[in-house]
Amino acid sequence: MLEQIIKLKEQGLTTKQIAAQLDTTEGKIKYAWTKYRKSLTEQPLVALKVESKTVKQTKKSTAPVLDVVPSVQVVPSLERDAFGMATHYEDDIIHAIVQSPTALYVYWELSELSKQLLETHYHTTFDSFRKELRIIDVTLVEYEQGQANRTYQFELPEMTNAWFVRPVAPNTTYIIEWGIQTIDGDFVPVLRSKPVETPRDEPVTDGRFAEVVHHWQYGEVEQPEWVEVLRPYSYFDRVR
Amino acid sequence: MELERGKGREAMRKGYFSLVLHAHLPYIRHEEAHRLEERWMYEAISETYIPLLWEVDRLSRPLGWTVSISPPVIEMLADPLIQERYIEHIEDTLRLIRQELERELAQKERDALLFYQDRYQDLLNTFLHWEKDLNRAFRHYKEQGYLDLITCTATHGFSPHMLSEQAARSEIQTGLNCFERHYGFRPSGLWMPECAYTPGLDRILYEEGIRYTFVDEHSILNADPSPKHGIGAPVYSPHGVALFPRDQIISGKIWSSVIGYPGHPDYREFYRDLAYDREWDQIAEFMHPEGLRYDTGLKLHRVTGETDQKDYYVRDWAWQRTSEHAADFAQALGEHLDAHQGQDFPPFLVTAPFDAELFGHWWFEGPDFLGKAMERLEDQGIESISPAIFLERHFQDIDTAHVAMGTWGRKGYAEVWINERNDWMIRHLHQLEKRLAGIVARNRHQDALTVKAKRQLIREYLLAVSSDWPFILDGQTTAQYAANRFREHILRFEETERRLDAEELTVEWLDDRYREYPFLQDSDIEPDVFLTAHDYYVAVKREKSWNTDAILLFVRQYDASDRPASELARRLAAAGENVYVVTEHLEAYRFEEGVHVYGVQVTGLPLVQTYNQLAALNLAFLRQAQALSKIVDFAVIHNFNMETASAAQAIAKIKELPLVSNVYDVESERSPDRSGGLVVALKRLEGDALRQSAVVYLEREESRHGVEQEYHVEKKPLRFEENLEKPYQHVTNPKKNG
Repeated sequence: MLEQIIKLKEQGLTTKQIAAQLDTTEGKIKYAWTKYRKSLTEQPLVALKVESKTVKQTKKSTAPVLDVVPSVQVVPSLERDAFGMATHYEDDIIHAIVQSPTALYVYWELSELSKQLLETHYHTTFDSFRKELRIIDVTLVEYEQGQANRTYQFELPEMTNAWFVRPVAPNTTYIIEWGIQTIDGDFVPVLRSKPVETPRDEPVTDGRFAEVVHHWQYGEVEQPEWVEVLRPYSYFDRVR
Repeated sequence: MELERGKGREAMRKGYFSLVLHAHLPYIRHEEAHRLEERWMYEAISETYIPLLWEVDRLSRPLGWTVSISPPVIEMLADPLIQERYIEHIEDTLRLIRQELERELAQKERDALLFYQDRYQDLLNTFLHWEKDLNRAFRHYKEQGYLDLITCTATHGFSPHMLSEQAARSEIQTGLNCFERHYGFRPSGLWMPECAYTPGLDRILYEEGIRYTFVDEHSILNADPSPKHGIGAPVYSPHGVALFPRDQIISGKIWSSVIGYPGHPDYREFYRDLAYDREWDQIAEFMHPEGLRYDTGLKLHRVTGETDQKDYYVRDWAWQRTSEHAADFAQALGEHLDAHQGQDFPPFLVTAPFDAELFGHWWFEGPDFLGKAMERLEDQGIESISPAIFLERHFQDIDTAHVAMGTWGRKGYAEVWINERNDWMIRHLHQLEKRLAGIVARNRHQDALTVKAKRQLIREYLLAVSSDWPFILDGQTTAQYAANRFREHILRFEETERRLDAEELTVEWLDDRYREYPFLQDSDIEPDVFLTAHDYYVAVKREKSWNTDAILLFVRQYDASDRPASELARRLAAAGENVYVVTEHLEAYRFEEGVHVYGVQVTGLPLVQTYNQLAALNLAFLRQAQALSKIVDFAVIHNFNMETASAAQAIAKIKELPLVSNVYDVESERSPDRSGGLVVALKRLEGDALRQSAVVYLEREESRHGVEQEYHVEKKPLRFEENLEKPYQHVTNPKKNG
């Protein structure tokens, strides 16, 4: 009977419906099912089988179809946790989001390629680097041009891939960099976040947005002069 | 003091009231029966959705209410499986009530049960009246003009934390498509999940046809410039979306269990359910087959007071109490409006947005209260108005301001959705966004299978991005379910992606996947919502022959006349090779005599030490090469400067490409008398790069000694000028040979 119960369960029937179909009582169905479920959980844990990503050859030699872009990037097989989730992504990204006017959350991923470059350049192992986060206030200045209002940095413990940055100031634009602190005193940024803006936490008296809102409202600028975090993500961003 | 209705209308007060109810549950439909979470839906239907509809029906006149129904709720209401199971649930409850009534009971307990018996019978009748689909009911009352309907984003994702514009757009657009399929029109307003707003979200909303949404009070009070009416009016966001602020004083009267109405001793006690007042044997039949005890929905006690000794619920008392509270509310609201009657253009508006489930599910008598409150508002001459009508009347009287990120969650920002309990989720969601952009860019097939696969991938992303999962993890109740659901959709996404890449997908497999979570029809999902115009150009319009067997040249100064790099690049291009140059330059790209020249620069704060400046330069070269590698298949990397040797080596090693190095001079020639740390480091780097090179070309014979003797390069360095015609003939490709 158990086999039939399992089959009907899989079809989405309720115990009542199963009882009716098998011409028995609901109690018996429930008993059998509970016992079965219990027997499942008592079995030793079997490691989750995770299908690893197969490394795929590029399609270029066999792709006459014009609307297919050869997938040069190979999805690497990633390390998985007990739930089958990737523990790390083969990517170079640092991203900051707002938790509150005085706190940001930052996470990052560093690719093998980036690690290799650092190891090659500094002739040492990745583990031996002193890793730091640099918090840069770039409110109303051009960071690309080397301008910053103020910065601070701190050392990260090994094996971290995320950080709650507290405290930060409200109504402020930040860029966060993940990098290495060299023995000769430089901070070498390896990953740089897009700008993120902490919200205001009090009413403004003499704010900084009246003018830029006016510029935008009356079509005097092509793009708004404030931070908007939801920008288009282009996969082929730097390919022309 | 009761005013006659006619008289009340003459004595209309200045100002408006706007009630907004947002109905939402995560998509918790499972094919498998007896999933605990499915009961959330039954409870919402029994306690909130139908009782609210009863009030709308009883009043049968325009109420000015705006009801937001989220796509998961719409889809579950329309789902035949949920409908059948709901009926079964009601019948079970009625059976339990009958069984209970056969027991010996205190009179008040019996009365409470009799109340539930009538009520559940009414629920069933109403449910069947609308042919089991309550979407029909909401649609009917909307068409009668009694209420206004809007919806929410597809799965209630938390927009400010999304990585890309496309993700926010997919949530908004798909939600609207789903709503339109069920309700036959596209609303001009949209409930943004958690009243979460962030600058720029308004641009997407506006582009998707949305003209208003809701934010919390502080979002408007802290707007810049400060709006002159405070929260007494909406403000326009810079991209032209009206943001209606929640009035916390008025809202607090209703939702707060401390200062608000729901905590009154006469009202039903939420935390006391019959299931926990009976021996297991007495109720086993109505409990979960695996022996779990859960709420029956029969809550027979009232709040009573701050005591664990709860008295039985007396329906009449509770009912009377709602009349009193409705009158009190109307009175308070009237005074609130009067206090602001000096406001003109527009008159003072009180916006009161709530989770719909607050009324009925949490505050059992809430729907009765709302219905009665509307009648008392009429007595008080208070006009109840929808935001849509308000905008029609007053669109020209609204300020524009920059509104910062904010939500209606705990402390007003994002602490609920990103904290130490749930922060592990966000990187997975962002990876899905990036991969979706990549998948739609690379797969430009328009065949049915590919399009269907894209839609399924987006569906999995949407189901994963629901703000309910981090919300539940924050609260720590049913956390396991939320975490499992989240992981399940991430893994289902990856499996679908893997099969798409491996060309192992079939329509049947995708159909099976859909049947497991039949949320949204394919037509609701725009398969290319993650595609940017630029990616379309690169994938489709850009010359495809440029992508194969390419040569990557790293040259710090491409135009330097004493070096042969540019001459070589042009010569190779003329011979039909794909040549990509990465160089240090302001101009990001130029296509020059057949050569793709990409300029990179080190930006940001300056570095002090030369060797660290070189590290930054190498990282800049590496990033450009990585970007190109997404579409260009490189056969060789040719490095012209020791300054870029780290990036060249790393790429050669990880991508298994042959490295060719051109030497003009070596460090011992450049700095013959120096032996400091920088010289040592450069020599080491130079030596490593040359020893790793498949071919070393000398531009000057004078450097041969250094290369061979100091760096111990085993392969014999060749003269570059002798190999200009076929510079890569001596290169063996480890990738191709391997």
